[in-house]
Amino acid sequence: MIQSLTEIFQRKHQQSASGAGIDWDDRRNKYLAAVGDLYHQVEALLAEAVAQQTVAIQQRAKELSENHIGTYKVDDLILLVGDEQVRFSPVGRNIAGASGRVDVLGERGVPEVLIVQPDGRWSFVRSRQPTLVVVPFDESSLAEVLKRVMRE
Amino acid sequence: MPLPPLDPEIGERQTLDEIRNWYRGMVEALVDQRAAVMRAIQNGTPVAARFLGLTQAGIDAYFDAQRQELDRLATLNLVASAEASIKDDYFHRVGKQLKDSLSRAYQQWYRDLSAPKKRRPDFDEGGILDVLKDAQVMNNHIVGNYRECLRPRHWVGHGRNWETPVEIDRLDPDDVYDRCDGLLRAIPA
Repeated sequence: MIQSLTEIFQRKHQQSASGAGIDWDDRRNKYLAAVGDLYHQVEALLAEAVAQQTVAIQQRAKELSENHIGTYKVDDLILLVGDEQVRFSPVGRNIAGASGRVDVLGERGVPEVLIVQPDGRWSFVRSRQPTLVVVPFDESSLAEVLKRVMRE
Repeated sequence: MPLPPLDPEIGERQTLDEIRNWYRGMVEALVDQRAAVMRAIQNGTPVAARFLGLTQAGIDAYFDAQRQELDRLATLNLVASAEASIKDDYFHRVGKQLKDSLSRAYQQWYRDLSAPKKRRPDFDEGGILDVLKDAQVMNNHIVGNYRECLRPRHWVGHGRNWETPVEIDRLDPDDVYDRCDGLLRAIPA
């Protein structure tokens, strides 16, 4: 039985050899850097509102666990707007078609999905079906998303 | 709009084996597609739009849902195919005036039907299955096992607009195949 299990795992390991040689730590570090870059962009876009004290920004540590990468620490970015909060919450590096994902969660509805494109830019995935709609992250798209996730 | 008369000669009947082969092919396709998407995540290669931005857990959930849907459609097809075979056999025994006990039971039941029911007889309760069961030509549990598949089949086939039957997640297509096949094989020649 033990021999049989060993053979099974060896065969599966050989089948997945395409993943060998991937530097998972490097992927994690690049993702964390991209998240940091996103947060800087958010802070820059909201700098005026923060100065006017209509928005406050906090960061709160959490842990993510992913296959191959393991468990690591990352911060949520939280916008405090009146009696509401909007949370930018990293979801992970191992994402289909992207190099990482951050969800934007408010008190309404479904989270908005931000992904890191292969060129390093962040974009919102507005819809997948029936038509793929991906919108670059900027002041305009952020405003639209905040309207969708916050209360009326 | 009235339903057209039953006619297996011009229908597009599928055997249980054809449906099971289709089902197994679809399962293999789903398994292969899931593996391809997981490889794409690992290798950083593009994916179809429907997967963009999904986590591995999200992809698992997607394929679990696809498999569940496939299982339900396969169940519908299998049970409906068996139903069609049983009806074919019924009309054959009635039309040919066969002399065995099941044929006589069918013929006696047929005589008392209204004209519309003669063309499209009830199948389950008060219908062909009841006559088949009462004719005592097979163990009753064989009919009972098949009948348990009818609730999921009706639920899927009629738009799923009532509470999900408990059998839907208890019976997988292989089990449904065995129950349908068991019934068809038990019908006397």
